[in-house]
Amino acid sequence: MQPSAQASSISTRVRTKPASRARTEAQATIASWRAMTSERLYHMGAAGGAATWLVLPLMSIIVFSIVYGTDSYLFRYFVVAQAGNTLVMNTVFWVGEILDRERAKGTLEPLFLAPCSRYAWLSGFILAGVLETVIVSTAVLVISYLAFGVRFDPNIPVLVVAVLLFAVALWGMGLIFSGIGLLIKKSNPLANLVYSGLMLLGGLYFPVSELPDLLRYPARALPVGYGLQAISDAALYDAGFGDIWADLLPLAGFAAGLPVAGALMFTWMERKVRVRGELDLY
Amino acid sequence: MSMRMSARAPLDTGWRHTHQTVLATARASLLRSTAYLINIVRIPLTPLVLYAVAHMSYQAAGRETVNGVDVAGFLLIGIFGQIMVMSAVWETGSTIEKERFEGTIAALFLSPASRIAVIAGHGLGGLVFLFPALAVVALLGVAIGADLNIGSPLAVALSAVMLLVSALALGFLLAAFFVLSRRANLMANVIQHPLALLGGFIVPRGEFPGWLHTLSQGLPIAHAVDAVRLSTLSAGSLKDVAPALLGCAVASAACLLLGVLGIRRVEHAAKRSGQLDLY
Repeated sequence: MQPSAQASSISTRVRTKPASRARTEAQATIASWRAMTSERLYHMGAAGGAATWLVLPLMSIIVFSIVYGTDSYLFRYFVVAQAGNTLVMNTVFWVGEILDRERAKGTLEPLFLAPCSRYAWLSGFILAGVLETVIVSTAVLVISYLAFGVRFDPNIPVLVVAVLLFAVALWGMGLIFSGIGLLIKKSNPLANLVYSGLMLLGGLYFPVSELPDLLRYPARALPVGYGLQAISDAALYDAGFGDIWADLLPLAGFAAGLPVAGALMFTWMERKVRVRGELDLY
Repeated sequence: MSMRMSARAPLDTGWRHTHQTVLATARASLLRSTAYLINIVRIPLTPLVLYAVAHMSYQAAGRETVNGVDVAGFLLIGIFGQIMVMSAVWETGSTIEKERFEGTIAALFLSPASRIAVIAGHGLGGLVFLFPALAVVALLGVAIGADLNIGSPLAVALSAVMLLVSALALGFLLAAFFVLSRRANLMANVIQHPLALLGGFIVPRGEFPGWLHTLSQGLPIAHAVDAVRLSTLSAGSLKDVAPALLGCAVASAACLLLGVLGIRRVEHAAKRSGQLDLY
């Protein structure tokens, strides 16, 4: 008779060396990234993936090339903003829905019981979305260049800093949305609701400076408008740090504050859900 | 124990049965859609924000008129078209897929209810669910000065009816198209954007490149939106809107026919291959 597996409990604290623990966390992150990427590719298929990634930006570009005219500064801004919008959509619809999606699949509880920190597998899942974001952003810029004649004059160091700050700020926002989605159990309608607000106030279609006063003030309380303006200026007009500090400074503030706020809120909401015993309810 | 026989054939067949099925399904669909407060809040918000953003985009571009009418009015009717596409894609078109996801598709196909009546019921429930969205968009239109110019109330009424009919017809076609793919959600997400573009909701179809304009002629909602715009913004008479209404009727009939045939074929194929409740 085979001996049964030794009983263990995830609540048992096992002392491990920091290096070993870090290796385990990294392995968990990579494994969850691979698993989620494979699952996404399997579910969408090559044609479905290409259609999902390309149709929305392509349609939007066609519509707004007619509204703005292809040689206007608004259209050039729009193209870069659409590339940045892929990060925003990733935050809202991917990061924001991750936990609720796992709950619907019945895998959330096992994930929370896995012998690694939740940030390890959560980071892996988030990275799977980043791959799609990079593909779509690149496609938007290439299509705009080839089919609509948009020309770029990038300041690479400034662009890199702006994109990084923007991504970190959005990651913090994503953690907050993810926690709320877990709490209210309706993350997809929540994501649609949030995205509607960002469409209006985030400068996804034109610079925030074009908004009426009534909307411009709340728009300035969000990182999206600052990020898209900074990225647009750095990508299109070779803007230096001195030219766009007014956008980069608030963006840096959001990048410093939102991840901390996100992690705190996420932990608080997660604890609330576990206390209620609703981890696997939906 | 007494047990009532639920089947009272042959009286319950035919029109009465279909009518009951449509109403019961519409009611169930409406109850399901309104079960969560967040759904009730967000549904009108999406087209409302789209209207506001599109209007501000035209303002930023310095354009006061589109196709000879004011931007606010042009977009108002376009957003009505957009709401109808939402209904066709996410309500009527997703009917069978929703049943599959909820594990009720086998029961549905084994029941004596007409599949067409079930889909029509979902479509009807979806349209009722989206009425508040039409109302808030209309209110925003009034607030930003959408300028209506109605010459023939009959033309307006007929155009509005055709807008609803075209949404239902498109939904039937999509229902058949979605169901065997087992990727309905993905396809719905993808297809709504080309439909919105081809419908000419934000930009006039007249400004499309030739090939895109030709493609858009096959979309019934595009003709219906043209008719509603003509009758409500340019005082179009019944004679003026007749070509658009005719185009809408032909395209709607084609969608309906293809949809009904497709659904029958899908059911037959799914039963034979045993894939009815797989997803």
